[in-house]
Amino acid sequence: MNWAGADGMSPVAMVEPRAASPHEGDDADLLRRIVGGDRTALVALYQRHGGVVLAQIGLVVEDRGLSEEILQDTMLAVWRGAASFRGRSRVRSWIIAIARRQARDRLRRYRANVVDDGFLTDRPAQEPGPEDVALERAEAEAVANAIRSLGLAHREVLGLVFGAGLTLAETAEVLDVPLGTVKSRLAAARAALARSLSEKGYAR
Amino acid sequence: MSRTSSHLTLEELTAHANGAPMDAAARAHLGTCVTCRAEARRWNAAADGVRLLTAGSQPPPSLVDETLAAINGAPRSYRRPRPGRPRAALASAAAVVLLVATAYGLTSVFGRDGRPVDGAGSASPDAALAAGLTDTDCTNLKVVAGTLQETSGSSLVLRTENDRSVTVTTSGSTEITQQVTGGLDDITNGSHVFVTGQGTESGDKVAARRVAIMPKSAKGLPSPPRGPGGMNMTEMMAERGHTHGAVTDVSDTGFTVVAADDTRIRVTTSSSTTVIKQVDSGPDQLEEGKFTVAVGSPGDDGTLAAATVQQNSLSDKPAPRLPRELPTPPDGLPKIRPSGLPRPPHDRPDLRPRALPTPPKEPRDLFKGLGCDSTAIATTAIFAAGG
Repeated sequence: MNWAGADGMSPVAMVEPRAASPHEGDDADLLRRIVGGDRTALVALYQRHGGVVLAQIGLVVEDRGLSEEILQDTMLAVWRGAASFRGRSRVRSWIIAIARRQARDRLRRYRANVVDDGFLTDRPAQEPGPEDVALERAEAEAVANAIRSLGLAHREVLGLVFGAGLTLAETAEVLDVPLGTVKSRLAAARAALARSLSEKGYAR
Repeated sequence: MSRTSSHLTLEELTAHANGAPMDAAARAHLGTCVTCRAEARRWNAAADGVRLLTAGSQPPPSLVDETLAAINGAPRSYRRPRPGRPRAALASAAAVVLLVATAYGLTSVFGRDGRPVDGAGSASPDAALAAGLTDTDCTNLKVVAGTLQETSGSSLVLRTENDRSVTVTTSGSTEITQQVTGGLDDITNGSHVFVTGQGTESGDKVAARRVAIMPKSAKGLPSPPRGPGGMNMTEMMAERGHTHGAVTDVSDTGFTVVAADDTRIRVTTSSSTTVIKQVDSGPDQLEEGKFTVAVGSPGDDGTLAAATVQQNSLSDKPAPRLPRELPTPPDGLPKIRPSGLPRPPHDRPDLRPRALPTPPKEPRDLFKGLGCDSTAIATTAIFAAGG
């Protein structure tokens, strides 16, 4: 417990940047074990990523029971398809991409929205406006409530970036759109959020 | 590309909102650019909103079991739509993780592969800690933990373990509580308690050595994490002398704790049981020299505007502090190697897990999953430091 300075290392020498994905090697190892039929590896993967993936599904599907079914579909797909993981992406974003496909297969509404809302969401980002002040003034709870009222594509991109913690490039890969589209969609999502909060009186 | 003339990119701003470190040039630019600072605040606010919305979302334990059953060829089950759970109630996950890990009695002793953890090298103080502040999941909330050095009106000065003095300001809206000794009478039906004591092999009883009554505002603890393969973690914790949840069936000999997963554990009390409770307090009532935790927003002048202040008036530790690692198991807890834990369920001997939950490695890991709940953060800090 009492490790500080105990080994003679200076605190500076021990400072290390926060690893972007501290468990990545472990995750890949879990997938290899799943390929070998190790059920405990699937349980471990569930524990490590189940919450984040469920939260992301929940953001777009908005029905708890259905979200859980989609998560189960996803984990079954991971069990069957672990051998197809090529290591080109992080395991978490690979699972989320599978979850997204599972959700799309389950929900025609979801497919229609995600495919067809491009014209709405991918307009070039506008300069920050007076409404953006509302974002700074609103409490996190009000922001969370406002996010619930956003369109599906906006909720989805916000969830991927800030809920699942994906980089913009990873988000582009999961959404299967160019990086530029992710940027404009994210900016549009924030603008819609600020507008919604502003309408609730937070800009004043 | 000259950083002084170019604004932060969307990648940099979103990564910053996600807590990623910023390179020196970007940080320097942020320090001088009003536009980028405003942008950073707005992305941080959006990120906080998303995290509040998604924090604590855990698959129900039965889902893992059903998935395994489906792999084994059972017909696929379908889950009827249910109303969403109140997300705000998903509070002190970290406190539970701490307790569970302590209950394992091994996380601070053994690494994931069963080899002893190199305590000296496994954790790193971060920049915020060096300044006396510990980060949380919530961008706008920092934690200061240390000894109360002096009180001046509504301001407090806390001396942190690394010898920084941090001024904490309080206001009428600051929630200030003190941990004090209570009596068995304080344990009433509906109280939320953490119990530490002696468990039994059956995992349904605990003889209480210490009962800590949670502050009312920190109610709503989440279910304990489910053990691999659907093992009952509440019973496993009880076996090791820990339980927490809502109190019911109070009698002369003890009470029953209903855990968040509805498991019931009978707790017996005696005249030697210590009861700890939190009482409302004010800046002038806090005791100098005692371990104190403040959670709030940092100001540009290095002070912290506190939303919550909690003091452990009981601790007689010379230098209490936030642990970098989980507390070591209390006396009498068996230190069991991961290979022997947890027990697989009787009906599924094929599930002998190899990996246990990874213990927190950095101070801020203590507060993971707590979002912007300053009470839960402060309570976790107080408990994590022991007392």
